[in-house]
Amino acid sequence: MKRRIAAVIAALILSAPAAEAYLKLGTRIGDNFVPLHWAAFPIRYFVTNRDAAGVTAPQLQQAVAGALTTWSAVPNVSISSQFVGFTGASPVTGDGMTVIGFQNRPDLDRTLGATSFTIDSVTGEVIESDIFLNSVFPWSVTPGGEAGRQDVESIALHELGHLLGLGHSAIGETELFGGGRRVLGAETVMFPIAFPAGTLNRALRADDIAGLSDIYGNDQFRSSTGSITGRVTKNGAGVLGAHVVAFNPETGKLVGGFSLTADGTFTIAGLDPGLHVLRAEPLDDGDVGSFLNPAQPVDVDFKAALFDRLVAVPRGGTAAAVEVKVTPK
Amino acid sequence: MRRALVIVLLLAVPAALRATVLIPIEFRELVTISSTIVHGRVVDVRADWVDGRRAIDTFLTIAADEYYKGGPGDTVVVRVPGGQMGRYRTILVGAPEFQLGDEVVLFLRGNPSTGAFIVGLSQGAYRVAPDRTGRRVVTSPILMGKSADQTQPIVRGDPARVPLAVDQFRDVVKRVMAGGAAR
Amino acid sequence: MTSCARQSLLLSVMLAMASPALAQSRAEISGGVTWTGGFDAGGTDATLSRGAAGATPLTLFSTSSRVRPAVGASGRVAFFVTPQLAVEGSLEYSRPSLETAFSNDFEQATGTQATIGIASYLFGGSALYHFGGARLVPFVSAGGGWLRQLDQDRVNVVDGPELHAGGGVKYRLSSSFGLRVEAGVSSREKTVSFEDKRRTVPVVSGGVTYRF
Repeated sequence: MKRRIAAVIAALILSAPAAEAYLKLGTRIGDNFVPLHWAAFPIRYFVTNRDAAGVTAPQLQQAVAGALTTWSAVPNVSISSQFVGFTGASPVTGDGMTVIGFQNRPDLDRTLGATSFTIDSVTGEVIESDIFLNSVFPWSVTPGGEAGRQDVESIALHELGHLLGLGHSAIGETELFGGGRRVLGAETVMFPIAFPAGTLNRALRADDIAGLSDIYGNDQFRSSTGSITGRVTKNGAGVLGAHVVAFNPETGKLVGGFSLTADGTFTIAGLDPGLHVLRAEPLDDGDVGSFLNPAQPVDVDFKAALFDRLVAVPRGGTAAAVEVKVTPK
Repeated sequence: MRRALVIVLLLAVPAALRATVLIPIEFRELVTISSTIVHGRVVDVRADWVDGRRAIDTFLTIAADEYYKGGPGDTVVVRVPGGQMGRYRTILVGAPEFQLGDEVVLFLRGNPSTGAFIVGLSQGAYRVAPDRTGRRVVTSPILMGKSADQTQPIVRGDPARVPLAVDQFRDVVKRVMAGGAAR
Repeated sequence: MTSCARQSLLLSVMLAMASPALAQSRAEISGGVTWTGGFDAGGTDATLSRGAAGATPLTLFSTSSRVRPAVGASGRVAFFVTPQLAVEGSLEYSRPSLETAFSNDFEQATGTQATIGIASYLFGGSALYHFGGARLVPFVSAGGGWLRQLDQDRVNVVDGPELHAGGGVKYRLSSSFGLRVEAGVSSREKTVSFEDKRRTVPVVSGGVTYRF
């Protein structure tokens, strides 16, 4: 397969926007963690010319296009994409092309879909990015969903969020049932667990919009929104890996963040100006690795807690720093 | 028009590439469908070309301290998607990453001699690390209902769900294998 | 000071100075304590979508907010157009608190409520009509104003017009000094709250007057 280098390196930029506000995808280059960020658009992508049970390749392409349109419609961000054509290439090969397609992965029989990157570990250049949807599962593109089948556009919307650089969001709850586990509710498309087959999740929520805007937002976004920063502490010490959610009682929006340092510091950005409720909780309901590096000493030994002060978020600025105190279980 | 994908050196978040959509596994099922359950340490990490040199996977060698299920030998080989060959690194977002010396409990399927797969991509990978008191604990709590036929919300911060010491974790696995209660 | 408040004060001064008849009217200043009633500030549930069309969202937690009653200070300057009719400019300051109570948390999170202080400024103008000229003088009043509220971090501002009406009694202690008590209602188009709607609250005030 002819290999095309589809990416070039631009200047390294050392300044940061509202950094660390969301989980962003990145990798370690030397001693640095380098986030992934598309600097030029449109994103040119191919679709593997391979059907899956219930969905043809052209139907997949239309669903992908729909999902990309959803991300592109976020206000105050300018991202775009271009469908180049169908290809025989699989979506996880090192051919220099961004390919999206079905692939039969029985070894990954619990994975509906995944995004992969090939990176030059010396320069940090991303050579390609691919998305596969696992054809061991039954799929559907029916507008209203189809019982027993996963919705292509919903899963594509999630994976394309990763392609654009977003990590997972933890704004969701699950339950155990009949020897399995399922999503009870989620207020994000970037929750790592899919809704049960047949359920649609095609609409972006406030958390998704804030996350994308944090990476690609323009000056209008940054001047019209604000952020909350602070620490999560337990017995005076910082808590690493706490999930913190800001809730706006006027709008009903939920936007989340994580404490990503040993001193418990967190930042939640992209918030509408106004008063917010803060809530901190541990990531003790499953795979910490879905969100954070499990090699880090993530603390899950505390109870969920609501902060005792309403936090005033300014327009174009950051609220006064807060300390959310949690108690051990 | 060339598209430019740029790595921007920011105040990067210390998060590995952890991102995919999963069908979650309840712990009983994890124990049941695994052909090998091993507690041990990573003693070798080696990437290699696979699928006709079209992808890179990493092959881990785990020196077994104890097998909870199965038991092919002193070591077991585990294959995870992604890895680095020369200067090129392939990352399947959501695949677990390991380093030499990591202490783990792995739930595996497939051939443990040539490359078993971790069940559920990362769901079958549990890390062992010292807690603040120095006690070696399995860092992710077990998610398991009181019984297989009950519906039970998973409540974050549940005081009953705490990281277990390695030997306690093993005991839970053994009880599940024997068809007993969770705790 | 907002332009509306400046206009109210300027109008009061102009009324006092413009007419030869007014040049002989008396002025009165007063100051005292004000109590403003609280009100329901709205309640919203933090919810998670269940995905299925038409399904009831999952409640993560519920909130119910209230602005607490507050005691503040007030100052007034009045000019008597006639012996009975006076026009008055006023400024009231108070520090109510907005309290959000939590309930129904999916994970029984600790914490029962969150609060924030509010700095409240009301610039107003009123017309007062006094009955009788004896030591005890009942009066009725009505007018409007501009309410400005800031959260304690002075980050977010809420501005809006206000209308009020009420009545009270003045008691003359001497030719110059007196006491004043009154009660009424204040209707505010905008307030610090989580629901955008007009609110009407009771107001009670008392203080001393000085006439010159």
